[in-house]
Amino acid sequence: MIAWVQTLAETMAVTCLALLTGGALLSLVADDYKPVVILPHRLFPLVALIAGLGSFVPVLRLVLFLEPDTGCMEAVRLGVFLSRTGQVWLGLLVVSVLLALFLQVRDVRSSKWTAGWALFGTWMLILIKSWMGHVASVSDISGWVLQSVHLTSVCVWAGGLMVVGFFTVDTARWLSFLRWFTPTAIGCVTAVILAGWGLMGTVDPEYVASWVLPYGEALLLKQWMTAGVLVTAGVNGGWIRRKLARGEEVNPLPWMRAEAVQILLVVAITAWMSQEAAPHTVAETVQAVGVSPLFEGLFPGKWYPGLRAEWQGYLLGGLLVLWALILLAMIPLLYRQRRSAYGAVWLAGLAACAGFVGVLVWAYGG
Amino acid sequence: MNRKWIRYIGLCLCIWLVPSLAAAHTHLKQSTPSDGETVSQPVQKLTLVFEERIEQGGSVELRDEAGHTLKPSSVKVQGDTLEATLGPALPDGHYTAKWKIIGLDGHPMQGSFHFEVKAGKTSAGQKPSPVPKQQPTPHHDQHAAPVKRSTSSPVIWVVAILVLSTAVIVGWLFWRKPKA
Repeated sequence: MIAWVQTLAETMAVTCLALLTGGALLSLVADDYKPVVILPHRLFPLVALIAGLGSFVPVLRLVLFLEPDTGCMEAVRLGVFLSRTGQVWLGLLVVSVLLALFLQVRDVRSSKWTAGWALFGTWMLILIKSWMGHVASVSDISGWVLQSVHLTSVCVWAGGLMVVGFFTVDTARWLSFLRWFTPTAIGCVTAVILAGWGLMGTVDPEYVASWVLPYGEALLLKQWMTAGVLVTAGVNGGWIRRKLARGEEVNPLPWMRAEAVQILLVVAITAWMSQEAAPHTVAETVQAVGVSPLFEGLFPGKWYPGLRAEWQGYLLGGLLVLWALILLAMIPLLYRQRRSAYGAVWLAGLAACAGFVGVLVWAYGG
Repeated sequence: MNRKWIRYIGLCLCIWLVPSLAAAHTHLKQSTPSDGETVSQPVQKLTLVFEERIEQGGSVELRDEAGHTLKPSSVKVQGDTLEATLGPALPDGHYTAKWKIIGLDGHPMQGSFHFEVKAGKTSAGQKPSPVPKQQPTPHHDQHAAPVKRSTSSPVIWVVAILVLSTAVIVGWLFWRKPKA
């Protein structure tokens, strides 16, 4: 139960951080370089509050864990005020309340200075939130820097997409918007992938072996889901752009939204990972939490201490992976045939499931 | 417009319907007395050392064979070490120590270990048992070797479900007339 609550709250927090980043960033950009975006003024103070409040679940967990032994007040004192997690969350809350007040008093669109300060405040939130995470606690500075780069890039990329995708009223000047947004997005994606790779080295060094654990499985699913995002991004930054440059009629918004929703799904998977045991050493983690039910479900009785991936199931596994790739290739086809952009989300999700099972079968199903 | 939003939110909700597990991070590295040990000195203190630093608020309690719970008189957490002072030395017998801590990464952890005291001290009203007790086996979460089942592999079913959903989704997406 609480795992769901944490996943939901964590996803909302990151979504709000992204919205804040996107909103402030677009308010900073001159009108000539963006479509006509109308941001509801009331939205931003609320979003800033949720960004801070949404990260409370890890702290709540600690309080609930301590409460039977120490009683309620003492549990709150230990969990919120004396634990590292609690203290960092308090800092996050203070900054988010200040930012919310600031945005309530001054409209983010009123001046470049306001937008600049809003962006700075949001970035502070991102940095504090990264400090709260698991990685920063195991490998202080380097983990925190990687996590910050990862989260900042996601927020810039997804935030820009969401704000433009959902609040655009007129797609005039779309090309001049893409002229700066596409390179920015490509830079962000590169940073996300590189930082993510660095984080994997810290948190999940035994990558293949960790597929017997929920954390490793979620990571694999997340990577497949990211592949789908990249395909949709290619449609957005490549084909639609070319079509518009040729002066043809096309509405880019649905595809923007499709990409934003796909990124949100990846964010949700990540949020779920945040409350799972990080497999620094797979054998020990399995001993502590057991093999994931999913692995046990796919391969009953397969796991024993010292199990290694043998990559024997290449026939079925390879077929599934190929199938996933075909499904991903269908996304551009959707666009070519002018079908629903929304279908891209379904295809990407299905491809992620097929690819995920395929890789597991390939590695362990032989 | 509203229906669109509902569909987007519905999609996002799909992914949250995943089962969850308890998380565990910071494991017990060593303890005094250690797991499965038989101690011949009086035991007045438990020392637990963990893999990473731990937060304030950790606790440990002892349970003897009769199921009585003994709470330590004081618990001190310093760095990666939890020290519990018991007060009077423990009477002879088998004990299970259950610990609960919070790792520095903010994840709660709990576990237990067993030890036996043979220091020649019996508690009042308790006869030393003449029957030699079995050594308690070191306690770990051992997964018993599962019995191989000869059912058809679940993978086939998963593949079947995937085929079916692919057929439905691809059919639904590509069958309809494209928007002009």
